[in-house]
Amino acid sequence: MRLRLLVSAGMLLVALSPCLPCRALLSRGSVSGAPRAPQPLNFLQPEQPQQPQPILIRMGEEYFLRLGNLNRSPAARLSPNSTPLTAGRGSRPSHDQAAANFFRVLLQQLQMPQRPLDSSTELAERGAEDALGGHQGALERERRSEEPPISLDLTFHLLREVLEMARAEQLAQQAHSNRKLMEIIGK
Amino acid sequence: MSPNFKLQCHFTLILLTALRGESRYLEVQEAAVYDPFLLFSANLKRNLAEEQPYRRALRCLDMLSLPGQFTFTADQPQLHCAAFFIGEPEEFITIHFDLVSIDCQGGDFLKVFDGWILKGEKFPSSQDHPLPTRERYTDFCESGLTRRSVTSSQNVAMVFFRVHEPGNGFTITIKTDPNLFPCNIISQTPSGRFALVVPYQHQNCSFSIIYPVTIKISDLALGHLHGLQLKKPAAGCGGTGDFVELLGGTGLDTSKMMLLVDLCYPFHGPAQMKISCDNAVVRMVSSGKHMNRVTFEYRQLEPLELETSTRNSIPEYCLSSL
Repeated sequence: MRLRLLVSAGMLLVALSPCLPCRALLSRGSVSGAPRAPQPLNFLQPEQPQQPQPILIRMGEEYFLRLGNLNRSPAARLSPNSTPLTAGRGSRPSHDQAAANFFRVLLQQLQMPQRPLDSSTELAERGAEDALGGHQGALERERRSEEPPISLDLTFHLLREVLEMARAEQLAQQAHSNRKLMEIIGK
Repeated sequence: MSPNFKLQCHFTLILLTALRGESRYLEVQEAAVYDPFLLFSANLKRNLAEEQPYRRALRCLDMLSLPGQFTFTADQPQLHCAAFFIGEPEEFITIHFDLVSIDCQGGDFLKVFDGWILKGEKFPSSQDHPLPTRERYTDFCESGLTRRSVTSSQNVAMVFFRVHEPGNGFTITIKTDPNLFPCNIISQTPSGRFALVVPYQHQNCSFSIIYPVTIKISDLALGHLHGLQLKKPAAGCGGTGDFVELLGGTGLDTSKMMLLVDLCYPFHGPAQMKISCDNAVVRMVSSGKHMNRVTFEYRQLEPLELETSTRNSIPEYCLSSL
């Protein structure tokens, strides 16, 4: 049980530090480069994927994606060496989850700029509703104004009273005018 | 005393009276010179012309029978207001909007009606007015400043208005113009005399008295005065030709009133009828082929006369007797 734990820990350490084995291989290749011709071919292959590392480091997103690919290549190498497949398989789901998390974050980030659009849309909708409401109110008012005002409920008795008041006012004004006329003539 | 001497005495008295008046004038004016043409002087005319028009505040419910300038200012929301205008029978009424400060978008309105409308009943009725009901309304909120003056077709008109905001209101100027041949009239007074003349016009004209009255027709001229009528219709005038109706009712609309009597033939002489309704109407239907005229007097019934009438009549029925 302890040996397995140690092996698992070692595998994790190797997975967490993928550059170390690459550097070790490079140093070994430089020491015995001339006598072993087939090994340089193997050495040339890892050199090619290492070239984009600086670019990957600079651009976080690409680095994250490439990092996943680099992790896969050591796993493939380890599998032919009959290393414990369980550990390798265990590492894959963790990376998949990380990728899934990455995409989720990306979606969230993508969703964030949509929020102002949504808010503006909501504001536009609210404005439209207000406009419609106002228009409807105006229509109602127009309807009210268009309705003939026949709600005046006045009895004939009251009508006669106001008519008599108007008549009295007219007579008083006429008397006033006559008085004024006489005053003018009297000058 | 001889007649000649009496005449001389009268003449002397007249001269003495005139001299007395002259002396009074001289005493008051002392050194002033009497000018018999004072009444025709330009100064007098100028003073009369410069006389200011009548002005007062308009109430929510008001009746006006004289020209002038009237201002309504709301001190609180006024939602159901109306001003009645009534002129002399031979006058048109012109309403001019001098200043209007109302919120049309807020539900305020200012409408002129060509006639009177009360409890849904109109005077003149739709049958007697040349315009359809919709065209008899002038809405300031719709016409605005394009039509600031409205002239009535008869001696009555109305303004309906609603003002929500305190401080808002309007100012109108009322003028009257002469109407040579008045057709539809509401009487200002409960008693009077009138001659309704329709000269070769195809129209129906009504004279409305909003009181219980006794009507005495003194003269009725329908068409040719010397025309001979060989046959008389069995009942009524048949609704055609030229005739006069006496109507009674409880509203303004003549088309909803009760026909009491229709007069189909001209006559001369007093014909008296008592109409104890709230509204009594003399209505003339003219074909336009003749000059028609009806002359009548009307007098308000006294309460005692009304009581006498109600004793021997059905309460719901406007009693009429000839």
